[in-house]
Amino acid sequence: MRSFRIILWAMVAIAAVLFGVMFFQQSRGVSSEPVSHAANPAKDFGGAFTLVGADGKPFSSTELAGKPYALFFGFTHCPDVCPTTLARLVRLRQELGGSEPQILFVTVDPKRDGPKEVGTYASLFNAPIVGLTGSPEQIAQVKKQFGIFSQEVNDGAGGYTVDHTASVLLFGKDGAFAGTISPEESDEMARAKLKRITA
Amino acid sequence: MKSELVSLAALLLAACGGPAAAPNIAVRDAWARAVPQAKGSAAVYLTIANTGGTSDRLIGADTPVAAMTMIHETSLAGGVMRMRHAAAGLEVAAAAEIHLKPAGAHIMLMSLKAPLVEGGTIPMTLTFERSGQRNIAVAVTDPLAAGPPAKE
Repeated sequence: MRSFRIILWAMVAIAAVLFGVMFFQQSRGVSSEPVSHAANPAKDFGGAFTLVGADGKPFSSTELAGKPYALFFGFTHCPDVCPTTLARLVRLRQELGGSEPQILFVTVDPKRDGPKEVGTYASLFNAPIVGLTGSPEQIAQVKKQFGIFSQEVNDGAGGYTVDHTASVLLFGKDGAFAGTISPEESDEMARAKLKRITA
Repeated sequence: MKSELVSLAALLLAACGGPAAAPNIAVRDAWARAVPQAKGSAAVYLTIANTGGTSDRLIGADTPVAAMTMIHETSLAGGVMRMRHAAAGLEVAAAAEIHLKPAGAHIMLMSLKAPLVEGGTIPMTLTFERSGQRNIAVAVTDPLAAGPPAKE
C-alpha cells in the first residue's frame, strides 16, 4: 500500500512538472512569435514572385514593373465566380478604353491547372489576360505573400472544388498595393477603382 | 422567343383558373457564357417562376453537352468564395421566383462534351420534384456577358 501511494504521488509530481513545462513553453511561445507581420503589414504584403506562364516558361513579377495590374486568384474548374470576375474586369477595362490595367489570373489549383489550362482559360474572354500557374510550392508561396486563402473541398461527385479568396488585388504603376475589388461591389465602384490605378 | 410566348400564354391561362393546390412552374431567361472548347466546366443561369399554390423543388438537371450536371450554390463570406452541391435541390415557393445568377446558384456543367457556341442554344432537361421534367433551351451568350441576352 505504501509503495502504491508513493507511486501515485510520483505521478502527481511528474504531471505537475509536465504541466508547468507546457505552461512555460506556451507563454514563451506567444511572446517569441514573429512580430514583423503585425508591425509592418505593408512591407510583408506582396513582393516579388516567380510563377509559370501559359507558355510553360517562368514568369517573373519584374515583368510587371511600371504598369498597373489587377491580380485575381481562382481555378479553371470554377464555372461561376471566376469567369464572372474575369469577364467583369475585361468589360470594365474595355469601358475605360486602353489596355490598362493588366489582368492576371493565378490558379490556386496547380494540380489540375497547368500552363495549357490557365492559357486556355485566360483566352476565354477574348482579351489579354495573363494566366499563371506554378509548382504547388510556388503557388503556396505567392498565396502567402498576398494573403490569399484557398482550400480543396470534396464536391460530392468524386472531384473537388476549391474555396478561395475572391477579391481582386489592385496594384499601381509603382507596384504599390492599391486596394481590392470585391465581387459584391458594384460595377461603378469597380470601374472607379480601376480608373484610379491607371491614371 | 416562341417558347417563351407559349409559356407566358400557359401561365396566363393557369392564372385564370384560380390558385390550385399545385405548383405551376415556368422557366425563363436561361443563359450560359460561351466556352470555345469541349473541355472544362460551365455555369447555366436561369429564372424559375412558380405561380401555383404550393412550392416545388428543382432537384435535377441534365444536358447532352456535359458528362455531369449538378445544381450548385455559391456563397461569398469574408471575401472567400465557396461552391457547394445543393444536395436537396432548390426550393421555389408558391407565388415566388428564384434567380440562378452569377455568384449565386447555378447549374454546373462538368466535363463539357461539346463547346458552347456563342449565339447558339444548348438543350437541357430540368427535373422538378412535383412538376416533373421540363425541357428548356439555354441561350449561349458572349464570354463577357453578365446576364441573359436582351429580349428583342
